[in-house]
Amino acid sequence: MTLEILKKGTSENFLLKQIIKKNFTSKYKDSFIGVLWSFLNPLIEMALLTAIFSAVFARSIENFPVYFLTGRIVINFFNSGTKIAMRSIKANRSIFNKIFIPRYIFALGGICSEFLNFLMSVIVLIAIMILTQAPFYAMALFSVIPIAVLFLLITGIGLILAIVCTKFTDIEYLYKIFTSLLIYACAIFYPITSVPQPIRGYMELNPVYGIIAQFRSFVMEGQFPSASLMLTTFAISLVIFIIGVLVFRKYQDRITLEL
Amino acid sequence: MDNEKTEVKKIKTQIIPAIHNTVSLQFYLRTEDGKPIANEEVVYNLLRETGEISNSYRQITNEEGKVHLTLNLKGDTIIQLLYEGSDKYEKAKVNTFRVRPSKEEKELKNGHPYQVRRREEAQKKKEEAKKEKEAAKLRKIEEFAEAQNQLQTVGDDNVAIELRNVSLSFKIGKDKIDNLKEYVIRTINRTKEKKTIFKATDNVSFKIYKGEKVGIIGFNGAGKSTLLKIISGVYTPDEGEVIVNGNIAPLLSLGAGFDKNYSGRENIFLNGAILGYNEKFLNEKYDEILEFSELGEFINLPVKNYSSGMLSKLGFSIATIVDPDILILDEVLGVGDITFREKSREKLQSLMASNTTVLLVSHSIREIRNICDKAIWIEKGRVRAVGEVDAICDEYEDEAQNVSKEKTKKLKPQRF
Repeated sequence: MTLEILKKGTSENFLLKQIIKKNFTSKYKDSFIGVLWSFLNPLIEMALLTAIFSAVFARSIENFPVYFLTGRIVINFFNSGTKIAMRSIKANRSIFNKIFIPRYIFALGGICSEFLNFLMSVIVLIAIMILTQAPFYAMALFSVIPIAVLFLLITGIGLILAIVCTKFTDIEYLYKIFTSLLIYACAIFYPITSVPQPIRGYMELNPVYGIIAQFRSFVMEGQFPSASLMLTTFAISLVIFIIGVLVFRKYQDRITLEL
Repeated sequence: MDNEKTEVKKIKTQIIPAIHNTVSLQFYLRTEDGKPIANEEVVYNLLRETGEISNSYRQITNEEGKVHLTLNLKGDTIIQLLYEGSDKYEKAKVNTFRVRPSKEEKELKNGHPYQVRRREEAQKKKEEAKKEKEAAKLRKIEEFAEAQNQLQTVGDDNVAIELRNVSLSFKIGKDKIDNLKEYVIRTINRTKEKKTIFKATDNVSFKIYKGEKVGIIGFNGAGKSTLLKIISGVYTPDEGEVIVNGNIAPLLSLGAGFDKNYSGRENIFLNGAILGYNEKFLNEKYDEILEFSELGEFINLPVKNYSSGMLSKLGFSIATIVDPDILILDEVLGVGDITFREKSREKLQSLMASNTTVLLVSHSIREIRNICDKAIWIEKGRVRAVGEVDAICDEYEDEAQNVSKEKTKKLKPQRF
């Protein structure tokens, strides 16, 4: 994979932009309120879960709406990003079959457009923080670190899935189950302190949970999370990313033949 | 006594050709000076191939010395005629005939033996001709390979496309396992079918020089389109090298990646990006594309409202806006209504102008002859012949005629 894509004015860069634009506009093209859905969706979900769980976890979680939203927007980016990357080759087989374009470009474009969706839900998060009078910390700017790591992780997993899903179609359904399980495993709507210790240690190995914990630490508490958590999350994500790139490189030519 | 015992002349016989399984044998028994011998016994022995006597008939000659016997024969039979002699006459030599009615019978019911023989001869000639042809074909391929090797030693930088020993194979299984469940179950049960490898391109090498117009011909399934896809980069070959100098415009599919919700305008940019144009180029050429596509006000409507003709007009306009060094065509495209068809052909003609290298796959030999000056004949994934277009096309057409007679029914995928 070359870095051509980052250079302005190249056709790859232009194609990436076009794909992002296409994904973004087509997502809300047919619905009446359009892009507003990007804001409404997390809001409604948050309101619902706040109504249900704030009573249960009221004592242990200080600001449930913000606690929930921080976790929710991260895991949503993870789930939709990997999903769109997973389908990227299969959905565009008619193009891959006829014209040579870099095979990873649809996966990357999809992840980028989901990243834009993520940024829009960050706006929702800020709005809710203002509404609930949550404190703002300058430290929160450091949350770009876990988000960058998340981007790496999604790209790695997405590239692996794109290859595997083209070969085995039922991976898509299995992965759907996996993602819904992941929501429960990442302490989105319950406090991590309610999990007993040995299990909690394993949970911290899950890079998605690691990223959520770091994100919350920067945004809600305004302090650096533990260095060990940051390092393990980064290391695991990097390894997955490298494996993803290698797997994709190895199989991308073969997968075109099977389309 | 010596004088009285006259020498028996050789038994004179006459054979009347067999009809069906029946053989009539007629012969005369005479003395040496031609006097017929009457009232003597003559023996017919019927022998099998192995030599044992299967049947034997005895007949008495009439006043003219004539004997007549009609036999109904089956299978290979040898007929022995024998006169054993008497007090007056000497023993006559044995005459034998071989009759083979059954083979002819098998080959031709109700046929005259002459017809059969003629047919056999024709068959033999045909087979010989076929063998010769095969040999000639092999010789040609060898000659070509040799010539190709010589070509490769000539170094020059005027090459537009060069393929060096390119091979690509597909794996085909009768039932494609495309889900994990099936895969796991089959692996456990060991009922996974072994995949056969289908060589779509087999050790292909050739050079195309700048400005050459090359036609690729071959029967269906010979691997022409696969070859085009390898050259345009869609497929990466398993082995070998593909060298391309200059930018390629593959007109293999029109309107790839159109988004139906996008307007024509937006699709120009999307499709253009997929075709590898950059933003600046598309901005410059936008008006030209719009004008050529004749879409007018429709350009601002989503393409889901377009007719298929309008879609292909738009696709064609986007695809042909470039000024490529190498143009790759799978069949000469004529799209849209009559006027646009004419226009699109003209556009292609102008694209194929002097300096462009053209690679054209077509089943229309007439078109190939018109456009190209060189032809490559692909057969079963290999290069059968390369050369001047008319020579190759003539050969191809000859073969096509023969093939349509002989082989079409036997067509099956060639697997290795």
